[in-house]
Amino acid sequence: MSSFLQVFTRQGAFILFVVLEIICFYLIITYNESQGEIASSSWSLYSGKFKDQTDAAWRYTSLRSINAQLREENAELLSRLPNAYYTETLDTASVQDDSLRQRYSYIGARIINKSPLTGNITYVLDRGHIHGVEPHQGVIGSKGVVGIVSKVAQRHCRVMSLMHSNVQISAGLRGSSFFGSLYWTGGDTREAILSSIPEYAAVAPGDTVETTGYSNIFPTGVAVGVIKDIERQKGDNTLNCQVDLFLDFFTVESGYIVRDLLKEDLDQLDTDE
Amino acid sequence: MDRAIQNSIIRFFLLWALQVFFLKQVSWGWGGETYLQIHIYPLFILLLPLRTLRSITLGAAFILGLLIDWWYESPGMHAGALVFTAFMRSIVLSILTPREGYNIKANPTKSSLGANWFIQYAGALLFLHLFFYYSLEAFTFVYFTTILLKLFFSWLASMLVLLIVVYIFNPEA
Repeated sequence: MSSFLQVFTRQGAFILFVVLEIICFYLIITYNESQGEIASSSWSLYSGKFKDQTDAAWRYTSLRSINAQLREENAELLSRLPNAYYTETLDTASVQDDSLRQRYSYIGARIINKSPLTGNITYVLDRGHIHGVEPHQGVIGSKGVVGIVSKVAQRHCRVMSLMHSNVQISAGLRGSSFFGSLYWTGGDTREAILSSIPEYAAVAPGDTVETTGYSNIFPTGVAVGVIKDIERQKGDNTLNCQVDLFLDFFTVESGYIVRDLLKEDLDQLDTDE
Repeated sequence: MDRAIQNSIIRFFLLWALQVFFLKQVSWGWGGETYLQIHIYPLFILLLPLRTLRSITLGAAFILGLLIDWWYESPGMHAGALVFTAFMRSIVLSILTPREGYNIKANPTKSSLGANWFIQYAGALLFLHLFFYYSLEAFTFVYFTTILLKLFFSWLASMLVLLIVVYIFNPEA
C-alpha cells in the first residue's frame, strides 16, 4: 500500500494531467458540435470493425462442423454424377430402357493421420466398417485419386496413398481410348508414371490423365493429372509418360471413399475360372 | 505573501481579461477558416515561479483554461491545451537548463534568465500549446496541413504580442 502511495505521489502530476485532460476531452465531445460528431462517427467506425472481427472469429470456430456438412453434401452430389451410375440400357427390338441404376456411392471422410514421407505414404481416415468401408475401395479427393483402402477398423480405415509401391491404378488419356497403369516410382510426390501406352498413341505433353474405371475401384473419368514428359521404352514398343498430379499429397485434408455397389457381381467373373 | 505569488495571481486575472475582452476580437482567415488567433494567456503558466508544485501548475492551468473557454464558448478546448502546456513546462524547463542550473528562487523571466533563454522557452511552449489547441479544434489529423498553417500564423502573431507585453512590463517575479 505504501509503495502504491509512493507511486501516486511521485507520478501525481502525471496522473493529475491525465485526469484533467480526460475531463477536457469529455467537455469537448459533449459540448462542441463538430468534435462531438467526429468522436461519435469514429467511435461507431471502430466499434463496427471490432464487431466484424469478433464475428469472423466466432464463425471460424464453427468451420469444422460446416466442413463435415459440406463433405456429406459433396458425397451426396458425387453419387448423382453420371459416372456413378451403371447403365441398364437394353437395346431390343422394341423397347429402349433408359433407366439408370446407382453404381457408385460415396462416403465423405476426413484424413486424421498421415504417415511421414519415408517411402510409402498411408493415411488414416475417420470412416470405418460401421460406415460401410471395405478393403480395396478407392478414395478420391477434390483433385483426383487419393488412394486405396487397405485396412478397415470399426470406425477408421487406413488408406494406401497413390505414393505407395503397392498401388497401381488403371488410367488413360482423356478423349482417347488408350490406357495404361499409373504408379509412383518414389521421389517427388507430385509426379507419377503412366506406363504401357502403345507407341502409336497420339500423346502430347499437357494431355489430361483420368481413371478408366476398369479396375472397379474408381469411377470412370476422375482427372488425376497432366502429362509432362514422354519417354519411349526400348524393346517393348510402349511409352512411359511422366504425369504431373493435381493432388497435393501434403495439403489434402479430406476425401470420398468410393463404394462400388456392383462389386460382388463383378467379382464373380474373377473367381469363376 | 511572496511577491511572486501576488504577481501570479494578478497576472491570472489581467491576462484572462486581456484575452477574452481584447484579443478574442483579433482573428484573420479566409474561406470560412480562421487561420490567425492570438493566445496570450499561456504567459501566465510561463511566468509561474520555478518552485511551484507541478500539480498546482496543472490545476491553475485547468481553471484559467475553463475561464477562457467560458467566454470563447468552446468548453474544454483552451483548458485541454493549457493543461498540456502546463505539463510540458517542466520538460521544456529541464531541456533548457542553463549550464550552472536554476537558482531555486529564480523565476522564469526575461530579466532573470536573459532574453535569449526566454524567447526559446516561450517559443517552444507556445508552439506546443497552439499545436495541441488546433489539434483539439480539428479533432482529427486528416487536415494536418490546415493545422500547420493555423499554427504558423497564430504562433507568429502570439509570439509578437507576448514579447511586446514582456518587453513593456519586464516582470522580475
